[in-house]
Amino acid sequence: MMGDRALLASVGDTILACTATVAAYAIGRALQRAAGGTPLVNPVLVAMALLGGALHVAHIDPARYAAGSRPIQLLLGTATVAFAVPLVRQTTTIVRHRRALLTAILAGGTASALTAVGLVHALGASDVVGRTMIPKSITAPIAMGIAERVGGVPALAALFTITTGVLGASIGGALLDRLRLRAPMVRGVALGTAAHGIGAAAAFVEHPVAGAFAGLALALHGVLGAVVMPVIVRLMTR
Amino acid sequence: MPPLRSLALAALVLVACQGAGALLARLAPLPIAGPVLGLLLAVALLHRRRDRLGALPAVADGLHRQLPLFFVPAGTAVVAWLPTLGREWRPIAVALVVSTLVGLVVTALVMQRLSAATTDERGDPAAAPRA
Repeated sequence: MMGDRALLASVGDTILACTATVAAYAIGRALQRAAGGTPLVNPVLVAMALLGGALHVAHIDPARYAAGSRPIQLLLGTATVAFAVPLVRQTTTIVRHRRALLTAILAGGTASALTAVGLVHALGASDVVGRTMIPKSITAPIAMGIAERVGGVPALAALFTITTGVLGASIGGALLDRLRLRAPMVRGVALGTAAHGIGAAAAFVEHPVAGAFAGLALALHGVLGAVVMPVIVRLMTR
Repeated sequence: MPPLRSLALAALVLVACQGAGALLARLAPLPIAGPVLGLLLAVALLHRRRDRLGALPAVADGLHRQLPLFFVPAGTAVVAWLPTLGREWRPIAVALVVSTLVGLVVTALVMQRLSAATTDERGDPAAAPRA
């Protein structure tokens, strides 16, 4: 059992950690707005830098911050479960385009995971970084869980997926233009599969149909990856 | 299940699935993370009443609007890995840039090829999912 004083201290930590997290994220959002909404200024990366810097300067143990911010982490799980809602709402669309959607997402997801893992290994990065690369194009909340299960690091996975999203959202449109791929459905599925939520936000700016398909693709890719990736890695390392 | 008219009841469905998923992940030796098991449970539970979701879409949209905030705490733990990033930033940067481009191109080309039969050049807005 916790003593009264320990309980008070933990409540204090929780309030402080959660307030600091929301404040740091709000600053990140404000900076992004001030920069005209560009994906290059990412609110999560800004918040991570501010909080990481604050912990370092104030000599606070990161584990203590992690324990204090637990309520926000629990909401991450709830938000992951909530991906069920767009999936069941769009059952008709998924069934109608099932062959194209599933093949494109599996092909694109596999190509991007294999390229990432192959390149970090070829260029001499450590094994743990290689494993963390596996879910890099999947939405961060699901990617962190996958990383944990394939021997990677959830925090690094968050950094890799956000960077992937920022890259995909900033250069994806121009790349697809060059390839003369103009259909909103095609662009949306590509941006959602390769650059998850950040790519989907960029797709929404282009065209509402592109945005809706991007949201669908990122949810399907997340579910497929969460089921398939740990199993493949377990079979390969047995 | 009663109609999910209230936000609280709709949120309860999600939290219950999250709890069941966490429990299942702990009890069964599955390689899938708890929240994803919760997601699959929720799909199974809601599939048959997908036209009567009540307040669930509003709750899910609200959660997803704030989604980036929710992974700030877990992401902040990256400070412990700064030495690794300092050493290996070059392979990491190359892998992230190249694999993102490859992923985009492969997905788009496969989608273009396979959807060409069912849609016209500009896509098919009538078949679009709800935003």
